[in-house]
Amino acid sequence: MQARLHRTDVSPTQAAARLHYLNDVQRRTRRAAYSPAYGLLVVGAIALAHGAVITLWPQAGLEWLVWIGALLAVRPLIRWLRRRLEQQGLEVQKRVAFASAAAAVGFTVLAVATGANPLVSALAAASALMAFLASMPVVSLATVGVGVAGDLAIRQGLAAGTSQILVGVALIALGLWSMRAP
Amino acid sequence: MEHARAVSHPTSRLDPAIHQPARLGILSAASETKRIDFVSLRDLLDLTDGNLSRHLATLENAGYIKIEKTFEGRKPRTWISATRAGRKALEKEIAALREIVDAAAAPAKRTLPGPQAA
Repeated sequence: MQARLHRTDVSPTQAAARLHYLNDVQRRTRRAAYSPAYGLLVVGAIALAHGAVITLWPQAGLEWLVWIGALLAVRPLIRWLRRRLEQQGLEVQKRVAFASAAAAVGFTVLAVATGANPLVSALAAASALMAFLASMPVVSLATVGVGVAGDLAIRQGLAAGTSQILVGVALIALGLWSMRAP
Repeated sequence: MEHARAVSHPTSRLDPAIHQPARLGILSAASETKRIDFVSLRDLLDLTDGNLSRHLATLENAGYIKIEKTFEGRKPRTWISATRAGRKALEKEIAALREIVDAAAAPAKRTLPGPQAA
């Protein structure tokens, strides 16, 4: 079919090439700006620490130590990441952080309602969404897989602490891998 | 009639200020971030300083980007951010480009045998 060309003279082939180029620019910008690898490392560390505390001291109810530690560490971590990105010449929109936090809250509620493990569900959902928005669908799917496997393992009788340790290690491994992903 | 058909064609909705690939890339990268600096943009899009400057000037004149100059110590830094008009123009451009691709693909699909014919 002969395409009708107008003042901008863009043929269907050129239009497809431009859309492809646009996708590529968007993908590279999102990966650089959203840095899902750091998110996965932080989320993995929280799961790992929480799992370790409830495994080592099951009766002591010391999980709150992990949450206080996480709360104290999150602000300086975010500041450090923001400064690092600024040095690289990027200032990030806050929508990814808000969307991931909303996913975490939503999935915590859903997990409580369905009897799933709230921590595993919330952390996996938040990091999967973050990776998806950063145009890393494979990492996102793998994160969902880690969350589902962690929850299924608990339902099959594995201790919650052990499952959280395994989920934490898997998320950290995914974070390290996604740093090197092409 | 011919004129009306020409106006409704998606190519007529392409914006001359951003239809150039480099400017499309600049606006796309700027839209994905709150703001991006000159060096990052240059490296991301693989452009020369002069080339990028010219495209930035065109986009700034069209009102699609905002350019801010800051200093870090004695080092000057140029930050680029997409304006609301720029984001909207990019959305329209993407929609028009998709329409062009879809319009070309549609007749080809129509010639393929349907489920009844198979």
